[in-house]
Amino acid sequence: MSYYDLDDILTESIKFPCKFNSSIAGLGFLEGNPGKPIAKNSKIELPFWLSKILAEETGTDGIDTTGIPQNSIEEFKDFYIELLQPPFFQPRVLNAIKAGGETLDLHTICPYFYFILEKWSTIYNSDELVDLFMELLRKRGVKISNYASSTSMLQASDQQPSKNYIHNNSQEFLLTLDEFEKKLYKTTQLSYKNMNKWLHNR
Amino acid sequence: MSFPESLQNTFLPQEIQFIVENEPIKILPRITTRQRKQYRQGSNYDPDSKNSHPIKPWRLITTNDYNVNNMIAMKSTELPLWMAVLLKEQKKCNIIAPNWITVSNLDKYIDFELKNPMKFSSLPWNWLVIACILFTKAPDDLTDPIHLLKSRCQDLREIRLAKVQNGLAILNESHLQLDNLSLMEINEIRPYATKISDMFKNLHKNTAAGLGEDYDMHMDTSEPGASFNMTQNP
Repeated sequence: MSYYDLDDILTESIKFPCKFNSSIAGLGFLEGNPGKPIAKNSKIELPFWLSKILAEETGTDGIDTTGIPQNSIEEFKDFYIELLQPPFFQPRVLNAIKAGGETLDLHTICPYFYFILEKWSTIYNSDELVDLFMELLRKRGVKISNYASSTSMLQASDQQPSKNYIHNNSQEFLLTLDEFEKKLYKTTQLSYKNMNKWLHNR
Repeated sequence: MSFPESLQNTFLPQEIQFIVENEPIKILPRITTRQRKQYRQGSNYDPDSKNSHPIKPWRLITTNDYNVNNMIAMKSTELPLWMAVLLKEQKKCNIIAPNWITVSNLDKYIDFELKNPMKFSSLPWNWLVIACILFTKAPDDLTDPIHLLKSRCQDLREIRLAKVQNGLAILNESHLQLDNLSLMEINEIRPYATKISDMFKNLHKNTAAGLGEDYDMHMDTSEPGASFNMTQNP
């Protein structure tokens, strides 16, 4: 993903629950206490671009600790925050994926599901999670390709929204796709449509 | 380029047709373009001087002029497909259909497709385009009735399409084998296959298998203490 990629920016702005490992002065506004320090162990949601850095930095990084009393170093040698399990990777969601991911409403769970997993897995290497999601994408991909190639959908995309059953049904399906899957669906459908046009308009 | 993404990453079917139309095909011309010998050799013809020869020989303008300017009526020769179609439209030649476009040969291909669910038959790389062009532009040059050939080709396309769809279900991050699939058929699934493989690759590169040799290098960077566990309860 490039610097100017809107999806990338929106992905990084997704909020992750975090826990502060030390109390930090002046950050109370984050939990609605302006002017007060943020307490140790308080849980707040921070956007991924911020929490990613805070979870990898410690209070003593880049500071010459000689001459500072040991007990005050102790407090800061931990990482600033600890990332907690985000709601979209909770066992409830993972079990739903295992049970039948094809019909899952991914967009409601998280609109940037695959992108966020990609970023998450750079921090926490989790083969099991990645394998599960690749299998999910594989299964959903077949369904996306099927929907994209069905002729009623090809016609529907040319016409004004109509009230017929198939069209409504397909609209519902599109609403369950996450942003990456939507793009995949659009490019796939365009390709099938061009092919159909070429085959029949000769 | 300021092309839309869909045009940058793949060909339009029309572009594929354009590529295929440059392939040579055998024709039986009904006209003669070969000049009498003294003109062709140009022994006493010098284009620069006006009075060297009273009659200028006509020539078709081509980059590779041998076949085009040496057609003899009823003697088979090879021309690019687009040229052949052009001459055919002017009733100046007959196209000799490639020998795979016959009912018996197409039936063999269909048979192979049905017997080998995991393989594609070895049709030419441009069969779909050639078939479509010949069906519309030169239906009278085909040896078998056109409706039979058309239905065979339709069957072939649908069988192969179903196989491709099955293949998409086992797509992975590293490779995709498409033996004997024609250019048009590959082009049709290219946007889907490349997009989804890219995502697989991106997801896969952070797994232990994906990190591979530079695994250690990545592990050296300071890792947060918590490791993610799928069964863990928050």
